[in-house]
Amino acid sequence: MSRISLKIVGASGQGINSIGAIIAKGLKRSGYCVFGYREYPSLIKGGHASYQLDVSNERICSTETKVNVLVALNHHGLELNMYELKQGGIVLHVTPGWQFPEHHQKLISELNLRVIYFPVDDILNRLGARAILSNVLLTAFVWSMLHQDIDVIKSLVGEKFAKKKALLELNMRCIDEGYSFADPEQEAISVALPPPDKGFASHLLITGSQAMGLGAVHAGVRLYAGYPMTPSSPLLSFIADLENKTHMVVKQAEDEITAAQIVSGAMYMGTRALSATSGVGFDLMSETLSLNAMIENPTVFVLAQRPGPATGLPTWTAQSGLLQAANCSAGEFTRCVISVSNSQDAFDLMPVAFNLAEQYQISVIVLTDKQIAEALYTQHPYDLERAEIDRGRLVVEPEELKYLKSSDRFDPHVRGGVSLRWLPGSNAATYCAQGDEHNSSGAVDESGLNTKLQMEKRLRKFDGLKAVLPAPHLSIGGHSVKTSDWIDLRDEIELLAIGWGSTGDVFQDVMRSDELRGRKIAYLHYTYLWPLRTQELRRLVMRSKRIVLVEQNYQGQLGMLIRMECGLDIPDKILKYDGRPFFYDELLSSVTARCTSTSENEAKLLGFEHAGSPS
Amino acid sequence: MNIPLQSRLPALSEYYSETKCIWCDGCGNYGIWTAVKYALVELNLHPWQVCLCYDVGCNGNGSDKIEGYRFHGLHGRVIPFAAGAKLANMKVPVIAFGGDGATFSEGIGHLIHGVRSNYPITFVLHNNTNFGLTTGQASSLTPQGQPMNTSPNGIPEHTLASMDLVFSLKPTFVARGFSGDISN
Repeated sequence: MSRISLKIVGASGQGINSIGAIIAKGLKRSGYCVFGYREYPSLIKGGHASYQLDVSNERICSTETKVNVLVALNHHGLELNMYELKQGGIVLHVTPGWQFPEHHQKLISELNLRVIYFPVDDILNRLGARAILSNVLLTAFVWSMLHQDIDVIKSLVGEKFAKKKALLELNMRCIDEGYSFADPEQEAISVALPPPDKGFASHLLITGSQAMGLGAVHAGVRLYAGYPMTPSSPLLSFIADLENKTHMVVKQAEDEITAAQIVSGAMYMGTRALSATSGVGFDLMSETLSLNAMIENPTVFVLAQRPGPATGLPTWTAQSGLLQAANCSAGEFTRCVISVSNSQDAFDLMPVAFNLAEQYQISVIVLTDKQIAEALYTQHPYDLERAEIDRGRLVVEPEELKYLKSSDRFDPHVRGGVSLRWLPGSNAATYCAQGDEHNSSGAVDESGLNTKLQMEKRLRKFDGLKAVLPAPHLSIGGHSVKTSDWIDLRDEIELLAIGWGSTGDVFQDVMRSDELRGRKIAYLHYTYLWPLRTQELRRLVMRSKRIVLVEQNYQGQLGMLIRMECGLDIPDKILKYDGRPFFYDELLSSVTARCTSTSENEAKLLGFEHAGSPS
Repeated sequence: MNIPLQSRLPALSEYYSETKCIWCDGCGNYGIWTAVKYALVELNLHPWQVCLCYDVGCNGNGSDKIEGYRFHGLHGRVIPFAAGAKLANMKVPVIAFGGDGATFSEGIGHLIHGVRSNYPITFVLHNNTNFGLTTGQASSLTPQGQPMNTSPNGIPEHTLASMDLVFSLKPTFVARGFSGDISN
């Protein structure tokens, strides 16, 4: 897979994102797959920030640590980011008279870097344009370096200023100027992109948060309550931005407890409602999780992960919320934890989450993380015909309602523990959604016999849920493999990696790399994390020479759940807990190192033992 | 949800529950409980047409002593839950109940923002100036200096001026009654 990367750096608020977004859009329209990754501090303005685009003519969903082009909007970028360039890379900067320190000069000659000074202020003065247009000038110059058609960028900028004629003209002049700029000290400079694949032109450019928001709308969510906390805030903003189109009730609550309670009240009344938060915000919601378990109120909460403890790193990423989601809150009860992995399932899993919640009358926690929430994906248009809405054992027909008894609501003897549910306002026998231990109609009942029956009712749902949750997704060498084919696999797997969430897409890119293409590397990706299915994993482990856990947390939390569920210990782990996602080249080298040592081991040890066999 | 035309008027007996009351003799909750049932009948509402949300405390022990679609939740949180229920279906009248502990101690933020948000719900505050169910600790409405379960030398904190606070929030309607006076 041929890939190039371009990184724009500067102060937060300087226009990094707008340059990144226009180039991403232009490249996508020209037939490229773009993956956008943002790094920024928890500040409104100032602070060093970046927007990186990784580009290919094949599907690409990962970021490299080294880039082909660095665009520095201020001198901090020249100070901080020089070591991120690849051999032969290009540095584009706007700082007049910048003198590189000696170690950078050495680097420039070693890596054969080309440094271009773009005199943005001179050009602005000449055109009589304000500083804000420097972004357009730079964008146009980058566009010419990429050898792309000037009309694409003109039409993109034109769409933005269609109604402001004077501004439009000035913007067009900036594009012409920027596009035709040539550094007098350099020969013509260009960055070679592979030939485009026009299929990408019809794709969407979308962040994981936007995908999730559209998924929520698609799932029939009619009320959203939230309290701002990165990285869940982009979802709140996106849903609020859609308010006048969807006519959804959007409430910015006074705290996370309120948001969780409002959503629970709405679900009790029968309206699909959603809330999202992060880390300690989810701690505040956890008492409501326990309440919903007791009153068997279906609810869905999004937990957007970032590094903790406490407020941790607000604008960085982690997968450290798995155990929190699976274990937090008082009492023993059935819950479901699922994780989105990219912009595709951020959309697809929202209806699934609500269906599971209503089918089992439980809370479903949907994990995402800062990487998914804010990364920019090139996304195939969604299938808007496909969503199924399943409201489980909800009774709405008047003919059925009139035969209901109060004691149907929490009937402990019902199969699978899932009893009939009907909504306030239905002409039927009434019940109490009772937070204390209760009998079948919701009256408080502290007797030992009743307590045992109701506890068993609520926890019996776990088995039913576990039996229907889909198997983890297996891919070998970057291609999906069907569950049924696993049994027939004759070959041994060289390396079996296990991961979840945003790790998955990076691992897919690694498996499709030129270095590892065609190798028997398997990746088992968990979307449904609790209850946890391990039967497929246990079978695969028997076929694998080596297994490794890949997670973005310190403890290897999925590994802990796996061990808890089936006793399988995975001692070899690729873990990352520095707030950064897995980068493509970094993960590639970790995986390659393991593959090399696997073949060495094989040569040495004829009596090979399978790694991590269950003890 | 369409509420069909009623031919039969609601009767007080429809709100009768088999569950026995467990409040102390002479408790004000009996009066509030009875008054609520009368009010619902007067409003021409059958139990299936109303949503009654109870906070934790002695008031919450009324959640299974009446008919209607009821909810009994967590301490201090009844206002946002009731608001969510109301916003989800504006056709169903929602009444929330809470004590002074839930409303002015644990959940005071919810009270403030609930009034500020002007949710179209009715809230009934059961004020007995202490935590009754947990056997008599001070709430923020307990008179300062009064010895209580956890404060044998009298509680040191100022008593919260509950109504001054509520009126400062520009509520749409506030009335105060005595639980022994059912007809009012």
